[in-house]
Amino acid sequence: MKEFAFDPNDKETLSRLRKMPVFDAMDIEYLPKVLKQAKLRRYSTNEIIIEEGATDQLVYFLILGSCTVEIEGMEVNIISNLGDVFGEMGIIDQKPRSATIKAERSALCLVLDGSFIERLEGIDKMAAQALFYRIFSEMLAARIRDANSKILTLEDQLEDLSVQRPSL
Amino acid sequence: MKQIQFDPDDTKMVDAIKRIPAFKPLSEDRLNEVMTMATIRDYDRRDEVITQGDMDQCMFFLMKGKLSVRVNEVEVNALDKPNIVFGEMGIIDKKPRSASVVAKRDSRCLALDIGFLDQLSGRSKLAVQAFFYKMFYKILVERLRETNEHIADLDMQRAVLENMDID
Repeated sequence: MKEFAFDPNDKETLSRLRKMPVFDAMDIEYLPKVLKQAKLRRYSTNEIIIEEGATDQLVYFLILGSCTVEIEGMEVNIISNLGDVFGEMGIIDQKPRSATIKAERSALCLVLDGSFIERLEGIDKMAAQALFYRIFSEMLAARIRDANSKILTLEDQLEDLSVQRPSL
Repeated sequence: MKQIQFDPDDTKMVDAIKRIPAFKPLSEDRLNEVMTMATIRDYDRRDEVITQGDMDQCMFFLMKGKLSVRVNEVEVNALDKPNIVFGEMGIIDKKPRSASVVAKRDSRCLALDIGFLDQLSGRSKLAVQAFFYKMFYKILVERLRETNEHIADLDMQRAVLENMDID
């Protein structure tokens, strides 16, 4: 993994960032204040980005590449869209990471410490905080809806299975 | 259903609200601002708190009583823990209600109408918005963790059933 500071003159990365919902909605003047706290990290193929069980508090925004999500060695998901956010639950609490995230091929991420929202400064601080929490909430709501439909599917499957095995 | 407006001079009411963990960090002044969006609702047994399919912009905190969560008339869950939050999903993604919530006995809820968030004005607007969205975020993180644990549990049960001999 190579880590470097965000270069405000890096137009290409900046324009990719502006395609992410959260940075797109943000006041252009305010963006540098957020990015000042950010680092860019480049990962090579198969490199671990987040390790299950670890208790770091970093939040990642995918800029390039794709990553796999593994729980106990089983792949459960792929993250491959520009602006996909992961590790964001660390913003609120410091519970251990519930999954391992690995670079599937080389990946570029924008990384912020989970406490960055609370450490924002300046006159527009409140607006930026509201924006981050709102967009992250929308993201979580979508994940919860997905998870809920997965629960319904699993419950159906369980019902079918227990019908086949009436001894239970 | 009977609706009571928040009264900052009613210390009993203020104390009851302060017991809701989400509101603990609020100063007295800020609580008063936030409560301009709140009503206290008393439901009789069988009253509907939320109706499946509806689009509304309220989230709720159960202050006392017991509620039944029903999908297509079938109870899928019961809520009776004091100060539990529900109905927060619809206000984030503005989708129709996926379940009904019905009072199992006389119950009291604090309802927050989030439609008001956009109507706020003045200096406190952003601070109140920031507070609310942070509160949602915390609630949703908790919710997602519970949901993921539930999935892991069901996955395990399925694996056990699938590996069982049929004879």
